[in-house]
Amino acid sequence: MTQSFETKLEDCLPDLWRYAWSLTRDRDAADDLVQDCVERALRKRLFWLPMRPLKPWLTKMLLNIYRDRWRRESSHRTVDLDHVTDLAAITSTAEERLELKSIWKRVEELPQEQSEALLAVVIGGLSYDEAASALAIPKGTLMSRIFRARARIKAEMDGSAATKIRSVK
Amino acid sequence: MTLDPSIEELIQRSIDGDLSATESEHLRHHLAMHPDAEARHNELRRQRDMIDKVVPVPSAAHLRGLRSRARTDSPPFLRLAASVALFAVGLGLGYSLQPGGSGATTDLAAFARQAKAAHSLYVSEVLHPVEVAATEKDHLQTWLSNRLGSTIVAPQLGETGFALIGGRLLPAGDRASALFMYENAEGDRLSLLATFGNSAQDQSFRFQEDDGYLVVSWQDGPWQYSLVGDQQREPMDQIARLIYDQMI
Repeated sequence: MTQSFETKLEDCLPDLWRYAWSLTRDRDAADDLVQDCVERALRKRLFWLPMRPLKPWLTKMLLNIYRDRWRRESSHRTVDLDHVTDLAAITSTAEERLELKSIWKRVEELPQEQSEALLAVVIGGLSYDEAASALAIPKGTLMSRIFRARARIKAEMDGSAATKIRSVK
Repeated sequence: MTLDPSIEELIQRSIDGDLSATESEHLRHHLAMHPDAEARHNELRRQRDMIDKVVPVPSAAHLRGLRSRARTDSPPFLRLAASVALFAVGLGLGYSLQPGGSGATTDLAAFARQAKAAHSLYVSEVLHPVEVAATEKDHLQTWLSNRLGSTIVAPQLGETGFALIGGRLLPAGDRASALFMYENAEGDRLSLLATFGNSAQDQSFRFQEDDGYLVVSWQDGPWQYSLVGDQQREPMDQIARLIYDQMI
């Protein structure tokens, strides 16, 4: 049983780290969040129900730590992606690089409750049920936050594309 | 462009891999006939890929480093062993072992006794087991949160067959405590008591048998909890974990 907790914990770390990065857009902050989350999980492991999936439990702890520590100082902070990740390694065209930056700017501008929900599923690798449990909200609420987030990003991207085309003309 | 809301939902759920085979087939069929819906499907999928692409993928070595730097008070296997031993001794002797008699442990044990006393007093009340019924749950939670000095929410135990019947405010030493009472279809009742404002520490589950009741107590930071019922260790252990899970 000890072995399986350790193994399951390690299996969750990549998604957990990426979710932490997506919330903070900062490698050091993601490292701190994941390390603190692992410490808390090890301290509280006896409280974990073995038949339940571990990832939502860990994600919930990570969110609690993030909310306590990071949100106050970094709410709606926008980060120039060129400074935090190597976009050139991700994509070869300048056009796509601009699109990536533009989409992430929209993600950063989402209401916090929408971005936390969207990223929990897209980056955190949680199912709707798992994400709802991690965020302690009903599944219907989670889904509507995700759907609204996507629709909003899409509408804003369309809007800015239309403006660009008009201004070129 | 406005799509039928049910199609928009299918598109979004398909992007998150939430569709059943039948729903998938239905969507595929619809997209084949509706180019505007298909375009939206492709654009939203691309949006998801673009969001995902930017997030770095940590190396396994980096994560192993983080994992190994995580501080623990003592080696996990020792903590687990100690805790299992505590359960075993507690069950064997019919009461829990109180190692060292430290102040905090005694404190939790005293709270467990008060919880058992409260439960045994109110459990047999047919008409007034609680002061505020579950039908006024929001009011109950607000009231108890105000009196305890921190937000408390009645845990949902639906999957164990127990439903909230209500709660009341009680003294616990010189503090206020919240009592939530639950009942299952057989009429078995459980009480959960909670106090806030204790000196912060974590203590894992302690089981005590007291006068025919099983009491499970634990402390999570400033919160102390005791679950009391005349159930066996299973399902009490599971129910306590379920409550803990919701109280993180």
